[in-house]
Amino acid sequence: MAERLVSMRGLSCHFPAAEAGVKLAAVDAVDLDIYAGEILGLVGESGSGKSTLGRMLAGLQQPSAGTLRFHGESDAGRARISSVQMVFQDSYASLNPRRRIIDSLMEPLGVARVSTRDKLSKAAKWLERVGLSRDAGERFPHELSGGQRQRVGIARAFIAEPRLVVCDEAVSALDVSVQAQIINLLQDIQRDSGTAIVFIAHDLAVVRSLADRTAVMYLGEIVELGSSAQVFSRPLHPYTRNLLAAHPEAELNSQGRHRRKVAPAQERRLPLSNDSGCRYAPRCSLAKPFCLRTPPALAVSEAGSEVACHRLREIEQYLASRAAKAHDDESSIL
Amino acid sequence: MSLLEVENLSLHIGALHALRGVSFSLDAGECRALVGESGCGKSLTAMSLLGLTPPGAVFHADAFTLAGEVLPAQGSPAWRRHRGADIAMIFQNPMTALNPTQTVGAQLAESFVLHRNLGRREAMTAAVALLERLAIPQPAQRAAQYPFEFSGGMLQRVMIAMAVACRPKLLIADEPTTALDVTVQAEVLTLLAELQREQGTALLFITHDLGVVAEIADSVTVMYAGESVESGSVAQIFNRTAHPYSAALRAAVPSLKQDRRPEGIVGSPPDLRREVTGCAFAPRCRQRMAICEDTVPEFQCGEGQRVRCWRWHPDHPLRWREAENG
Repeated sequence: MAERLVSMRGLSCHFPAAEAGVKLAAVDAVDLDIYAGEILGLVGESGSGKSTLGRMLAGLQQPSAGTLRFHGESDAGRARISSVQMVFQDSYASLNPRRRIIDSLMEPLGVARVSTRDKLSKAAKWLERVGLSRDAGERFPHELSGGQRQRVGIARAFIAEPRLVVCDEAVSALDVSVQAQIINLLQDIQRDSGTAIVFIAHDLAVVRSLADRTAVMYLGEIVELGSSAQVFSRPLHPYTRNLLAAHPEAELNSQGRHRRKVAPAQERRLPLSNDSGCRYAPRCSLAKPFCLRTPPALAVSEAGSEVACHRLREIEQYLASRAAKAHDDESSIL
Repeated sequence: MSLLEVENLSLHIGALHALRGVSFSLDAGECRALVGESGCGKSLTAMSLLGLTPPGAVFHADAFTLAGEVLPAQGSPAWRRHRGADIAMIFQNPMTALNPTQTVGAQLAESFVLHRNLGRREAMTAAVALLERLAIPQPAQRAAQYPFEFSGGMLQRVMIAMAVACRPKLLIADEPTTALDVTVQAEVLTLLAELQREQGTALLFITHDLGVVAEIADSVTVMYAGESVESGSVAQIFNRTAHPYSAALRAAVPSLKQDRRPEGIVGSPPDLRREVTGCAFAPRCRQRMAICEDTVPEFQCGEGQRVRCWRWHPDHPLRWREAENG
């Protein structure tokens, strides 16, 4: 097992809610480890708390409870700046419009106390690494295309050799042809540098193509966590299953038309600190009365992933019997 | 004769040659997806169909008709008869498309008052009935609420209701589900498809999301650099992709089912402020031939499919070889 880089225990971020005495639990008691050199995907619908979790990792949001520990160094102040970097969704808003690209690129190095000449050569090297010409460094953000600006955002995040980069919807605003370029670029850089990446996205297919492990969040909590292969090809939590079924795959099926089968979405609910039971239960087709009373904890599934569902064993049994039946059917045809 | 005929649509905005030859047709009850990346001209095509191109833009089309009738000149007051009644539009962001200071019911009722000459009270009753049709709980109370009190998915359902309220012949939806979560997106698409089927409306669905195309469209037109480059049935576009750009676009979409790396398209689209020589996609095309660089390919017809590519020219030997290989 790789070295543990970050440990979160009971990590929460609560905001004041409209009602007195109740808090909005944007992130609620999350236990999660991030290992050195891995790409961890964080998926979920809007309001699931995935961005708030990313912002806490980058030190942009104070946790209201729980611990966030960076191994091997103190998690406070200066050390955090060089060890965690972030790539944002809006590449234009995240670059200073009055600074040349090269100056924005050199800024993270300022914290690391490097001479100007070294900074310049390093910035030039990174421009090339992310596929930009040297003269792009002399330009201003508005003179670049969205894809080029996101390349700058990536170069800026990696230039100070951080141990962790948080990418919050870093490719969602890009056209697919550019998005694919950026995904491949991120993967290459990650492989060379060994930096861990937390990749936050709502697009499941993008996460699948990048992440080694994936955590699925729902209303502030992690409901399923496992290797991407496991989570995407054998999802267990009813929410994960519903989310995957809702993904529009860009293929036609044998009947010609691809139709998604989705449990009806309900009125958007906010996670509150006084919620009882499983937060997904009101939407869940498998919910039993006790699901509404007792919150489920993450339990290890037979395949080794972690799933927060009271009915995990029954789901596993059902899937196993279905797989066995499919196997029998196949054998009978053969 | 199709309901909507657009042939060789061209639009100059100052030095920018934004649309350089867009052609497609649409039958009643058909859903055609207009697909392409940002800047390819899909939204401008939609705006032309509402007569809303920017002032000073120079418009030309070889054919531009709805139900056999030539559509008015861009910006002409004659469009008021068509907009909202014959041709309706659903925008990407319902929050900015609705008036935040008016109740949702009042805004729904407005189209009934304007286009169906209903009285205010009757119009409000019709608006509530429409909300009920959308499966919005407590429709009467909801009608008295303001847009900010609705969720994004519910507002988009309201926008759809508003657009279909007057039974338009043509409905244009510009990225209507892009801002929504996938589970909500599936619901909104289902509703749109249902209403379209019920009313026999022709739907022009503008999107960059090939997954949504696979789900809702009957036919597809792929656009690149202000031109239509490939048109065909949804099965043709997905199973017998002809244009190299369409193929590259498909390869760029990551898959949830297969474990493969998405492939980017090298380079970027041409600057449409300068004249484009030859095929606009040639500089990025892996199958480029000498002719592609200096001669513009026409939007050729092939078996039910139209392709703007020299490799698919009737005289090109490759075309037949590929067709045989399926």
